[in-house]
Amino acid sequence: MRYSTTRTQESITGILFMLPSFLGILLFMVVPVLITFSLSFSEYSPGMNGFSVDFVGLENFMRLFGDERFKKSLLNSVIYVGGTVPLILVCSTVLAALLNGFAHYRTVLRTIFFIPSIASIVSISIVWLVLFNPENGPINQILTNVFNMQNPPTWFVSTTWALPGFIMLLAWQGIGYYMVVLISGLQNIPSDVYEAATIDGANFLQKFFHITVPLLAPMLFFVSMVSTINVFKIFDPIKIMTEGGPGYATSSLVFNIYYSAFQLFDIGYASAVSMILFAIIFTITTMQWKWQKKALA
Amino acid sequence: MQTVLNYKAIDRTLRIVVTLILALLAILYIFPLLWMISSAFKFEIDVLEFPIRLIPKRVNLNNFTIIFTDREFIQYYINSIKVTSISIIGNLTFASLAGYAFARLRFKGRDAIFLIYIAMMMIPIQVTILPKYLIFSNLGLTNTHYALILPEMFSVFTTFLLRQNFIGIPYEFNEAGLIDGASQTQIFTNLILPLAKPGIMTATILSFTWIWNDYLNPLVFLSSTNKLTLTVGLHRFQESFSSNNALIMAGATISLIPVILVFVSLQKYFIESFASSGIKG
Repeated sequence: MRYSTTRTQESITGILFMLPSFLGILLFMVVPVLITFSLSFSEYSPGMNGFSVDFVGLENFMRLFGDERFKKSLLNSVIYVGGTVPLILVCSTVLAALLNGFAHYRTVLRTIFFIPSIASIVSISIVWLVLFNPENGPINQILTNVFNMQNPPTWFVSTTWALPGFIMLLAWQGIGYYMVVLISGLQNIPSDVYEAATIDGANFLQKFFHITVPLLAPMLFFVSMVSTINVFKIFDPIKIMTEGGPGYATSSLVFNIYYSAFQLFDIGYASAVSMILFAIIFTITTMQWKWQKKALA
Repeated sequence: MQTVLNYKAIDRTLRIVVTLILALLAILYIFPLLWMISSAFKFEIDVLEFPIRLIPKRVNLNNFTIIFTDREFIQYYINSIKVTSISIIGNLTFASLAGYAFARLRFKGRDAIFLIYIAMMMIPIQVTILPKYLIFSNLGLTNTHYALILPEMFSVFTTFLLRQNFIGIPYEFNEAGLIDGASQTQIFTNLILPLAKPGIMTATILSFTWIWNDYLNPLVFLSSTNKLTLTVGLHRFQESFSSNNALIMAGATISLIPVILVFVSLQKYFIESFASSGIKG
């Protein structure tokens, strides 16, 4: 009798504790996702008295695949990922290995590399915009005066240089964060493995390629997945620095969602782009979880 | 013996060389932020001078005076503090209650509901921004801080993080509490919550950084100048003073101060938090 009252009390408390959070998640996550899903198959038109929603089947998706702006945004997002993720992986791994035990003044150095990742991307974008100003920005002044470059890149105002510019910006902001993630991974590698290798006469590079990289492989996989997902969601610097331009040359998937939803008010179309973004992120996350489960089992 | 000594000497020099290279790299790496701070203290004509000086030849504090007397900028700051602090309090309260329920309290349907949370972790907020906008505009809540605060108060990620944290606390504490005749609520508030401090600290730091730096939500939901938070406000500020780089850099510097302050005071927690944060960021 006593046992069953404690159990009842436990489940009542449980439900009461969980309920506020669950209702919030339902209202601000689950319902919106369902709305996006249904809007992607509909045409939404606001009217004087509320709004109307008509089912249009796959029409929004058909429009999407005939639209140059969408195709360019998708391609750009892939380019941002393809350029940034390898850069992040290589730099953060090397930094993590050196700053985990090899170099001196590790705490100070780690902090310096980490700081850009907590700074607001808005401030950073604004600073970079001035730094990389093609006419009188410090970066191009250095390129012309120190490196004698005749026609330095025009960075964020040019269709060719803006993409590498964003890749640099994203990598710069991300490297320190992933370095910290990898350092915490490295600290799980037992130090006697390294000691044994040192006794056998292995040098730093040998230890790096034969111990660090293989033992860190699951972490590296995790970092590449997470950074892929994060770069796929790039929006802030594009909105602030180029507005997706010139034309739509630098637009990303999320910028495309924002632009079609809040500038063109093309709700069905924006929802269809959202579903594509969701499908991509969903695929990557499922892959990651499956692989992690396998690695842990 | 000879070779070991040799090896040690090489190792020592190598360490010094690597440290020097890394220090140089670190200076280059942080250059954009150093340049931002130094420009904030310059006169406009000195900002783009060449060769670049990180230490201004003449110091100009006027940029800061302008900003601290700019009504709009101060309003952005106040709005950011308000939105961030209320959101964090709500977020931590709901997430620790739910996280504890998922971790320790058995009730019907718990695991099914938790599965929904896991599924929601896969959904980028960018996918929900448009329907949220439609919901809020039908409720007349766009251009109010409710539109920012309400969704931020419920985070699947924080709930998940705190659940993992509660699971790590030995079950013996619950048993001891039950034997002493404490109610479930008492066990939670008096026994478990104090033990969960490090996890709650992590959650606070992470939500603070995300909410303070959030740009998309205020951009979409807010329109009037007196409602804007600092990120969108700073961008407005930059657009209206686009010819005054020194002033813009001062604005950018000031907007970074809270995050840097929290970072410096909680540095140890901070780096650990980010290392454990995984998916969001």
